[in-house]
Amino acid sequence: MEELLPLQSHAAEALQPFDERVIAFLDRLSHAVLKDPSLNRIAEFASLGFWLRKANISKYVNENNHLIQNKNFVTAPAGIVFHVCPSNVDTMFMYSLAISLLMGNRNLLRVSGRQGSPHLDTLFDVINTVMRNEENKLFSECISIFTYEHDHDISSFFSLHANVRVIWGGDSTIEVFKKIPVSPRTKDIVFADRVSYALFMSKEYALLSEEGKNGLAHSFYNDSYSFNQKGCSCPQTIFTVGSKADNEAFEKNFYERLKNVVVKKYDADIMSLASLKLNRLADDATAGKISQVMDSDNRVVFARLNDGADASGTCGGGLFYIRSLENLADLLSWIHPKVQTVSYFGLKQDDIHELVKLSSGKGIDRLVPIGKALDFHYLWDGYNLFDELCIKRSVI
Amino acid sequence: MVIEDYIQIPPYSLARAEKEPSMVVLLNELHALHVDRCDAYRKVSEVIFGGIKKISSSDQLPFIPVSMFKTHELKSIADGSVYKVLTSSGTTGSIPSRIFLDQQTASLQSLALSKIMTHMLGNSRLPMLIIDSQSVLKDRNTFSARGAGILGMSIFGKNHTYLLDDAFEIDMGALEKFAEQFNGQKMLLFGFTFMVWKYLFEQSGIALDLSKAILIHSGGWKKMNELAVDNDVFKSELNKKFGLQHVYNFYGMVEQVGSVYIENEKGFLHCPNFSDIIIRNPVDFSVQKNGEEGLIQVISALPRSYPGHSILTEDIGVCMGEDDLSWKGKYFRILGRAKKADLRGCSDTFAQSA
Repeated sequence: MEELLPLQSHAAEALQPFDERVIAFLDRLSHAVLKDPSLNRIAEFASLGFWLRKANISKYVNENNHLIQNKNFVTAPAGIVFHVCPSNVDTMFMYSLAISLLMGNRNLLRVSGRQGSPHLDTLFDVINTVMRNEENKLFSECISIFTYEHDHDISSFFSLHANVRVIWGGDSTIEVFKKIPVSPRTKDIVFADRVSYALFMSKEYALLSEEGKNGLAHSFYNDSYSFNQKGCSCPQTIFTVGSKADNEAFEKNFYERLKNVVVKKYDADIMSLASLKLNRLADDATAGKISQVMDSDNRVVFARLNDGADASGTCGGGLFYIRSLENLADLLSWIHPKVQTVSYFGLKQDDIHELVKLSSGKGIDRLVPIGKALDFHYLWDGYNLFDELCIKRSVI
Repeated sequence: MVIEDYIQIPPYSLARAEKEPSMVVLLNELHALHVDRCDAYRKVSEVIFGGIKKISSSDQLPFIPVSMFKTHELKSIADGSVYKVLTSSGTTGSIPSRIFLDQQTASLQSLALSKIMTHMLGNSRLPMLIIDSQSVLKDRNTFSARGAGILGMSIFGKNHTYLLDDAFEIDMGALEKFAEQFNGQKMLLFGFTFMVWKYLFEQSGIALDLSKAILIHSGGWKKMNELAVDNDVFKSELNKKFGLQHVYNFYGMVEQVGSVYIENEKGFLHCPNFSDIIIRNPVDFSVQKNGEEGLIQVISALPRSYPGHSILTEDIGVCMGEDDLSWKGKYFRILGRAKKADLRGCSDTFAQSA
């Protein structure tokens, strides 16, 4: 299996953190993705294309200047990074790979064999075409992407040779990989199961124009339905903040607007979805988790969450728990370390500061406007991935 | 009217105008009874169906998803009153449904089934060939749906003969003995659709004259569709091979034993007086018109010991008509089953394969 490992590059060619050659390579990938007619019309791939552009990457390099212009240490690549990529988000492995390449690492990627997504195959073709180019030849030695069903031997072999393992895929995947022996110095960066919320200030919503309200519903749709509401950043629970009357008015109004978007855009097997949701609602009702259901369309279901109930556990496909709060500070009783993203509408700068301060040490890794819940960022689940994927050498 | 009297009415005699008022009375009584005695039913009915107290038409009745019988112990009787527990045979690895019967519900179900069967078979018991093995009845503590079906049907036959031995091989000795006595006569054949196909039709060496036999079969078409055999092919092939002319498929489930839907003169499944179906639009659970497909809600006036009087199945069907045949009542067709939704999360790269 040795030949599967990415080659040790010749010293002269070895990549350094934030190497210009990597930035140029990612930019060429960006062009190729954005030029491909079957990929560039899909939001997920278009986002990836824009993310890889030189202008964007340069911004991230600047933001992480502490890694290259530091008096106290010199940064070097971590070595071989083994990425275990999530199966539901086709493009996720590319972000993981791009950041690791930017730190100069050689990469092994396991992309789930169950994906069978035609777009993913197109993306592989695009990557291969770019890599065949003479000027990018160096990169074929730094990137090995594998598609295989869960195979203990292959995963063990890769784990044993990895300096860092990046394990996407939640608790169950982490559990599998924690059992696989690694070298004592191998570092694991793990992305566990998380829950995300959406937060609406109902009075501010009422002040929006028709266009503004529809736009918000659209943004919320993208956050929630892009991955059938099953991405870890997709909101599972909607919190409304305001007077009882304002919150109720918000719920009715927003439900209808969201429904309008969903009816036009969401493509789901409605027979399965209807059964799936009724099953979950019946379980939740029986368990005392919910008290009331708004569901004039099975593709959009709002279920009112009871006191103290778990705000996670949606079956996906547009089942949102909903909870009315009087004050922003009331959100705190729902914040715990599993809370990842809170996407918000109507928070003022002061509110944001207040919420950040109050929730510090309790939970919330990302606080972003509605519509940005799925945007990939190098700061994820509390890690700065650039920082994690390099080593710092002390030179005095 | 009480259910005991209502069941006595010939099972396909009531048109909507007569059936609906009686059903509404019976269903209101059942709804109140289960709200009172079954916590899970009460909660579902309050939270999902707005806590409706009294219905004025049967389509207002709350329905519970069929999977709840797998995930919950749904009972409206004290533990001491449980007379028997039915379980669904289910597919390997799946959790079976558990249905709790007291004596009253069990006897209502047998009575209902016998009303339907005597309508089909007449009052005298017929020699009965069961296309299965007696071994499926061995565990008497938990009746599987298959075993319960065989036992339930057995009371309509005599000289019960099982086609298969305990090793699921054709029991030639038993078959020859049965054929010697009854070949060419009026007899009852019963079995699961796939078993009938595999063990009766596809076996060579079974030479029977079944021109006067009545075959009653059930169990779904999934496996049969894989073999590209639909109801028409099934019937015509059996007719060619054995001269079999009277073949009736039926749709029923362990969650509503007794309220079976048997094939009518047009080859569709027919509701008896004490059961009904409503085709639900999957988008909003509104009632579909005849000819429009949807999820099948099954309604039965029988279940008193457990809240099974109104269930939303995961079967997809379409109502084909009502009250315009010699039998009164709705009739429908099954198109398939809703796929298990596979909404994959970030958290499942290895969940299924690990």
